Amino acid sequence: MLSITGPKQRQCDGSRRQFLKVGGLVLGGLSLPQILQAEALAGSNASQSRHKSVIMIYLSGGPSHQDMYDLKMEAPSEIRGSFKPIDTNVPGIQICEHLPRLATMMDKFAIIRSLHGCPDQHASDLCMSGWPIGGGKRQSGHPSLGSVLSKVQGPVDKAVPPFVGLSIKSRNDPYSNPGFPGFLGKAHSALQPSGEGMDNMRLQGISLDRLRDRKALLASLDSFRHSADAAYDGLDAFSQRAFDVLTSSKLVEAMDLEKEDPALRDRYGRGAAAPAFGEDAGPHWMDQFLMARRLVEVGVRCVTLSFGSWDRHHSNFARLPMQLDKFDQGITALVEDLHARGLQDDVSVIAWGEFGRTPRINKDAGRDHWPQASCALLAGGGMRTGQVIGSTNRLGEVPKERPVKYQNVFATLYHQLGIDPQTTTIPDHAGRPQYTLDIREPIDELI
Amino acid sequence: MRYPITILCCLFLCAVSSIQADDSQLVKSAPERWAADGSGETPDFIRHVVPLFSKLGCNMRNCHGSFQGQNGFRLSLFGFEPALDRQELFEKDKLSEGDGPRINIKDPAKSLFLMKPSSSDEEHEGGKRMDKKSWEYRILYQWIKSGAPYDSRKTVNLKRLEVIPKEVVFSNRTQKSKLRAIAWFDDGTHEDVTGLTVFSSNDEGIAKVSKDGIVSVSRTGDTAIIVRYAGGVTSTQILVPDTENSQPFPETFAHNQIDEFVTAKLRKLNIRPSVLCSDADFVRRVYLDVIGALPTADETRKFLADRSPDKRSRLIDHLLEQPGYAMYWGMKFSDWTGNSKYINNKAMLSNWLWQQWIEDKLSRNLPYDEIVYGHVCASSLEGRPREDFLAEAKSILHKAAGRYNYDDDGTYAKRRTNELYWTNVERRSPDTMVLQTANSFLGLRLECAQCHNHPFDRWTKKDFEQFKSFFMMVQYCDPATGAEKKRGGGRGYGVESLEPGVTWRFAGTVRKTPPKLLGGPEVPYVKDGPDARIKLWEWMRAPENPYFAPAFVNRIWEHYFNIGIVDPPDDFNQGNPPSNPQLLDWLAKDFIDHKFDIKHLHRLILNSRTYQLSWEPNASNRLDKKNFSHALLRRMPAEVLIDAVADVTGVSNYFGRLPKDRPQRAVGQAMPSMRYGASRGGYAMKVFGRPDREKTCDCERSNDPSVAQALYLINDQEVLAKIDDRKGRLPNLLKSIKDDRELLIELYLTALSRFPTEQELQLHLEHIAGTPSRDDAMKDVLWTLLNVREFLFVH
Repeated sequence: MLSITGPKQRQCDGSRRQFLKVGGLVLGGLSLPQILQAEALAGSNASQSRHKSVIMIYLSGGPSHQDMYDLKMEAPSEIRGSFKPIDTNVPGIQICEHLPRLATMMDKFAIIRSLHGCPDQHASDLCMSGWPIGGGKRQSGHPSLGSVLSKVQGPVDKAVPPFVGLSIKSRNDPYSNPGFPGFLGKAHSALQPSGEGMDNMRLQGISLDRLRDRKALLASLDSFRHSADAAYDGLDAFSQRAFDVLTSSKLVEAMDLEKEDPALRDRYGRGAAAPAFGEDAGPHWMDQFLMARRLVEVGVRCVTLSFGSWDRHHSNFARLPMQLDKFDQGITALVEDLHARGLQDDVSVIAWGEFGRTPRINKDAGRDHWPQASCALLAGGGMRTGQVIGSTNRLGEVPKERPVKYQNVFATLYHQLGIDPQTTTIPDHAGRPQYTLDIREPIDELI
Repeated sequence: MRYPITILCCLFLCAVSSIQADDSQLVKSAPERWAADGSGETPDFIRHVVPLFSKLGCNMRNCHGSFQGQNGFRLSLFGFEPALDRQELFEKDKLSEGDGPRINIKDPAKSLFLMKPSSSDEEHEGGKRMDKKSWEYRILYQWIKSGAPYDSRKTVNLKRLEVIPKEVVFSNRTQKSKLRAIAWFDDGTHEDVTGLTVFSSNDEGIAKVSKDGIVSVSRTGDTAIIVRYAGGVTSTQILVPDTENSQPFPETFAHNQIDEFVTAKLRKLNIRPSVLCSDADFVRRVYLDVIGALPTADETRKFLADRSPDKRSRLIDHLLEQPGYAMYWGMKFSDWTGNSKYINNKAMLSNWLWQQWIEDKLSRNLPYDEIVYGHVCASSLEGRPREDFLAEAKSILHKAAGRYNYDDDGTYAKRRTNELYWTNVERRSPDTMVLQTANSFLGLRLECAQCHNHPFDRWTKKDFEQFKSFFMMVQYCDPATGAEKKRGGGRGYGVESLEPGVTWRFAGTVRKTPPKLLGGPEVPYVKDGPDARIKLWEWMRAPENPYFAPAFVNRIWEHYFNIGIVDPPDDFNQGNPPSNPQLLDWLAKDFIDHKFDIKHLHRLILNSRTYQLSWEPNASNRLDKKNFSHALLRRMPAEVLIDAVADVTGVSNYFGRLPKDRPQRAVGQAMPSMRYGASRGGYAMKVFGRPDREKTCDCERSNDPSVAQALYLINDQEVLAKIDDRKGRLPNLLKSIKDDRELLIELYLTALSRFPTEQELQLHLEHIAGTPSRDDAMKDVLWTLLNVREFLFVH
């Protein structure tokens, strides 16, 4: 039974408001009320202004801040490393020589050098939700940003889920977390194209004609449907939408990169969905940057992906030049493309990892885990770019100016996505209103 | 009876004036006392000022009641900490210019705390909450002027909150009714607190209530108005009968007592019940509901052909004796009690131990209180010598070492108690144990009281803490030595009552916070005394416990009717009264009188006329969802649906190697979110809302429809392959039944448990004639039968 008015849940604040029961799944929560809402929006002026969205790039393993955007040339050689800084197109900002494309368009990016407050945890949980693994629960039981968007804003298009996760599977399972729904429940989990459910959006083994025949037969027969619909309004909408998805497949098309200009694909760099360096990590799969752009264009609100192998306990200086080159190519291709399409104010982009790396270089020419300081790269979303926020001390050990926590970054992203973290609460299964974050102040310099 | 219903005169505003007459002792209401020409007396902080914060919305969660406060000013949520609130008022407001005091006793009108909410010029995010000329303003003003007094030692506490009238029956839609709230304090006084009370409606589609307690209604039905004042909660029932229908109420033949209670309520509302459902509807419904499986074509044929008048109750008796009964209800128990993957690091084996343990109890029809004993008072030793237990543990653990070794001898299943309920990794935190036990066996959600007093019930944070002490008086021990171990990983942990002389980590906490039963007495901690959990269990099963029996009968009821008498069924609280209190009370009493006989309860409900009503609504009951005037359509639960698809296509799922003699069925799978060999059954489980049992909430199982579900049945490889399977039902029938008509009948009986209509037969025969291959045409038929709404729903 579809109960839209039943008093199933209650808020602790005494308002005893009645909540819509949400019954979607895998389609990232295309529940009936949301579909109806999306359709109502589609018919109104609201669809004229573009939806806001976010692409979240997780650099699995923890990238070293001092080898990317925060080079410490004054530090002793056992800390400094072998990379040299280069100037960027923003006077006064220098970054690593292995990010040359980024240097030419630094005005379109913002760097945070003073990120801190991460536990020593190899997991994407913190980067997907702002919450580390805690109390035996992934993301401490809280929903990821994508799941919150799915719950609070719902789908933009009836055949497109609001939340898609592209992260590949890895042996260390917490690397593959595409963003969990936490207490919001499975209805708000990410659609994973590599995962189950995706196949069902393409016809399986029967032709479109045969499906139409069967649909016609079904329509003429289902007498029960008419009586059931009379008693329970709108029950039919779900299967109607299912047929829509099967016959339109907007989403499947968005993931078909063959439809793109080969020159543009080369700009992004292609690559494969296999772990980088054959290690246990994210891939050097450049196509996913392009796929992310195509997905947000058709109406996805949040795309998450994992990239590269950054847990460089060894071979840091041997492997980073190649990896930084890949990253440089992908991230600049994406941001350039967003600007070319006029999406720079609608689509936020963030690239970061779970922690930084030790200032001191170890005996294997690697850097170990360093949760005391970390960094992030941001672009688009109408944020103020061409600036650096915060700094670390002389040796890159701890934040010096403007320390920023992961949740401050999330507060900023939520703000840019049209959700006010200071006032938005979502009831959990016990009906208790929960904020999306504990730290709810956005970074003013960015907004 | 917890919800005594005073049958009041049905008419209008009657009650108010008559009650006022004999209320000479009643303290006048606040609006009267602080009227413009009022007495000007000093208001009481607890009786007037704090409730006013609630009434004006100041201490709500989204305002100053937030744990972080709002713009630097924090009030306790719903005013549960008055002392803190007063202290906060005397703090300087750091955000305002000149650090102005929130309270200015010399010049009350200059108090920020008065200026902000009463003026539209001042910057107050919450807007203007009251007028300077209002009695509300005068209460606050007067209180400040008198020096803002509060002495917690001399405070008078609320004993009881009463709302008048207790029930209102509306004779027409234009009528309005005024509610009054009377507070009874522990100094013997009582006061009209209507003006200081927060009113809210549980269903605004039926009745709305103004902030002054005036109720107006819009359509036929019933709901409750919740009334809250100073931490007290009560409710009044609003009934809006159908006044259009002047035909005499139909005489219905009651099958048993249940029908009397249901009809009495329907009669009051003038809502007509639907007719009795057909035999075909009944056979399908009762199979799906009792054993979670479709009847076979032959079983349906046999039942439909049976002419004896008692065939329905004979079928009920028959089903309650099937192995499917224990499997299906074992699964339900596993849902309620949280048989999840967190159980321990041998989850798969242990989930089966748990499932088989409960199935053993259900198939033997052990009394419900005994089953609860097995959870609440679980012990690894069960009074046996340590060597015996070790031998058992060794044999079970030894089996666990192999991937697919199960407890095939049923050693664990036959035990009296289920220690896994306690040794679940997550569960070892006493907080989790309290929440789980309150939810599983008392139908209570105590999460609110974990952090602050429950807003819709009487549970305080202190109640929670004291109740928690019961769950601290156990030891998690190494069964080999009996030594207590700290929480955390490790196999072979047992749970045990405290043994004399054991060093025990919660001793200090429990001494400081002695265990206390919810709404009951303290149970003093006796060093080396008997297991305190026995006291807890005795309190639970006592006939006067207001939650234990009602919570269970209500859960069973909810299963059969898709809505509880209290709904959601695990949310008993004073703000969520039962829709039919007499029915609930009677069912609970009958259950207790029958010594917690579970099958008796099933039989009683299943044999009632109410259960056997048609799902098809009539003009009068179309909108009714909670008075059981007709059966509500509900989607089959995930496991039942997956089995139904397998049964109809004749192609079984494969869930890996299972315990001995266990059928490959989704229903009763101990831990269905585990991977299933080559089969993708896990995906269907997820899509159709099978719970992971990781949240302490019945709401974790979702039976709501979704697009992904429709896609699954229309287009999933798993379903399509079953239809095409050469060893499946269809190829066999194609060979054995040459007549299309006969074959169609067989398919209809299998999938929909009924004969096709002539019109349906014609449609299919036309389709078959127009399709080149008979095989393909019949595949289309089978696909259609899996996709019609009638298949997907229990009806």
